[in-house]
Amino acid sequence: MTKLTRREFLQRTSFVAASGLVAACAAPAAPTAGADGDSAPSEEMVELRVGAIAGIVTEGLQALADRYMDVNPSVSVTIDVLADEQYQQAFLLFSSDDTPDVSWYQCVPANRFNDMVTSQILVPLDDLYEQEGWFDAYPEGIVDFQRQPDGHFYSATSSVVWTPYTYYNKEIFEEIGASPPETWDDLYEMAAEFRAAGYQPLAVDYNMGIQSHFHDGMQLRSWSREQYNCMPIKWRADVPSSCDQYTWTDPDSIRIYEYIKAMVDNGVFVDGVTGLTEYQTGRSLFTSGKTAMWQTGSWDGGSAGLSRDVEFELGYFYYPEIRPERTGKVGAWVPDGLIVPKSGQNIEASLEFLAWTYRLPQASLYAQTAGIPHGRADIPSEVYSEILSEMQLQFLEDNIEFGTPALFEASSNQPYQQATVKSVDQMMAGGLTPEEAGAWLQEKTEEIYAEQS
Amino acid sequence: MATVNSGQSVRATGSSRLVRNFRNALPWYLFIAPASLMLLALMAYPLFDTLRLSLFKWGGLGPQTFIGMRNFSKLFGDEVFWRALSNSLIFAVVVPFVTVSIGLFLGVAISRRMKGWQIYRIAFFIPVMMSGVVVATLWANMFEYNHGLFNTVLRGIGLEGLAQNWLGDRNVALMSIMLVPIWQSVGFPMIVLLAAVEGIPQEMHDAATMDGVNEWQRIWGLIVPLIKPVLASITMLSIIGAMKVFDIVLVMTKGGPAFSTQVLGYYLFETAFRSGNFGYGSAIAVVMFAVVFAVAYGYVRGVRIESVEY
Repeated sequence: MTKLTRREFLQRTSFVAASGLVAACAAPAAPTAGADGDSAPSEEMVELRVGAIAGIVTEGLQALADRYMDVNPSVSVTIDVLADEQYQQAFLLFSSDDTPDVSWYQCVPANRFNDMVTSQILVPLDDLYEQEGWFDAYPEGIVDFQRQPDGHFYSATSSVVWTPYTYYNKEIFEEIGASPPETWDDLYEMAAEFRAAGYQPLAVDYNMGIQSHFHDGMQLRSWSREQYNCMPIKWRADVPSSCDQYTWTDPDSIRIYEYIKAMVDNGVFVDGVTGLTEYQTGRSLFTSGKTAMWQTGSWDGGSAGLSRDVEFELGYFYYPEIRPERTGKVGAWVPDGLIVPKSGQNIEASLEFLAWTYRLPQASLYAQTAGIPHGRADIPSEVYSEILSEMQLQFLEDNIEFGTPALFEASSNQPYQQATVKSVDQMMAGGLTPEEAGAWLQEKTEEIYAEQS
Repeated sequence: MATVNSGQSVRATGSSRLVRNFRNALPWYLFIAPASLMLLALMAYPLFDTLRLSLFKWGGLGPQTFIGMRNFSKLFGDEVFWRALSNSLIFAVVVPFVTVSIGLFLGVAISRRMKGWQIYRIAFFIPVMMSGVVVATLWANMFEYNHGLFNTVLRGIGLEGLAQNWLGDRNVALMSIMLVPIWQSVGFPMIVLLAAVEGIPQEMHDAATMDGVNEWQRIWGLIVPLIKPVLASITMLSIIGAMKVFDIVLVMTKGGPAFSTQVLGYYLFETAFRSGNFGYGSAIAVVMFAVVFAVAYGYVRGVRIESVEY
């Protein structure tokens, strides 16, 4: 064996390392003909990456992608499922080179959508609104919601859900002779009866369920419509001066906390609710028959929801009213839709795909696969009656009758949303009174407003 | 003139020695170069950029605005930050103390070749190999109030009064989540300390036996002094690990209830990546780095890790 000098050793290893680097950095070879000698397709293949979150969104988008590839053989659509934490920081992803070409997104300030618009990293969809007739296809409220402060549109609503809904186990209700409560006292009395019969009353997850959705439900019942329109934007530097009269310490706001506290004091929530941080754990308490009720959103009333997981008959009800001139029974969540980041590789193809997915047949397919209504108002009721569950159809009818304003969380930014959530936590687990919780949130609101200004 | 020549000659000799030394060591510099470059790119640069960013207001998109020390002055008036710092320090004291203590006793017990020691050695080490997120999810289910393992067992044996809202009671939640890293990582100090204990010459044990020591005296009078450097190192690693706790809090409590399990790592994550306040988040990161550094430095200085010769 030849003995190498140190210099020779270094020369040879450097050469090997340099060759490796050159090989690694070389551009990937262009696709060649198949191994069997077939020639490459004459039309160049367009590859689209579509970002989504796991669950019914991915199921719905995958169904659309499959159909799109059937009718457009030269396009390959891949669904990239974004992990929860990846999705939370998606605003950074969309401004990078590694962005999906199209992405499903909850277009709200809490997800930095307003900052994405200001930073001009998204492709405006104004032309599609005109060409595809979306101004007529969508209800005016949804069009207004999607119109951004700069006057442009960057997304269109692909689904509508509502919250809070309380589902109940009809067998347990029959067992104790209960019926959906009409007053808050009915609900408190029922809770005691369930406990006496060996059941826990109401399962609900602590994070989104109580601190966000139940809080939203009480806002709808305690605030006037004007206050409801003002409070979610109290963080914004451009909040109208007419909103100054409303605070978290006024009686209509404190009442929200008082009703939450009354639910705790009357034992309506499941025991240990402040530790119930996992949505699925709360849900399983209901599906396994340990609790009589489960509070969540309209999505669980769809064909892909509770009916797949329970063997008992389901019912639902709305929380009782607090004041007669209520703002709504449930709030609507309409910000879910597709967006096109400017840093994507195939903007033209992305816009074609996006426009196609929102057309009536595809909108219906998405609604059917995901089991929730689409944002378009022109989907015929006979189509819905075929693709939505009976309960979802009833939700639709109810909401046409009662009206549904956009939820608080659709307009609040992340720090404000977090402060609202923590104020409930501070009261339920931290020992604050309703007045102290309101004062705490008011202080945070002023801090957040000062930051924005 | 002669003096000048002599000085130049000395300098020339010195510099040529330096060049010669460098050339002799060149291969080793080349070997460590990739790792050094990676460290510079992935550790040093982000560290300095974090320091820089802590002086700015930045939301992750758009321009950065220089605001001087405002992030830090806000931080020191932030009650949640103080709560997070206090919880992190509690973590850094309790978790290493309990983990290393149990690890030491297990290591000593196994070194004494108690019955079934091979099984214990593997069994206690298995959790170390598990993902932190998986472990946290499992424990969160065991802590669940209504059908979790702990409360079910307590109710089953008639101790219903001891059933707790493990993760939902602000007086209990921090203690509950501290049990998780203790359970998971106790095997690591056990294995390291076992190796150290087994390195003690048998003659020293024989001498101690002839002196008539009991097991307790053997541990404190013989084993602990002889393995002190290893004990100190493993404790320091454990302290640093505990100060950085994040995944357990994210999975089990999200810093709640009522901020009772808020820690620096999670508060930093919430501030920067949830709320998009990267400047303020960087200020938290800088303080967190300073605290971890100070604790580690103070520990090293205080304990004086010296080698022990048998």
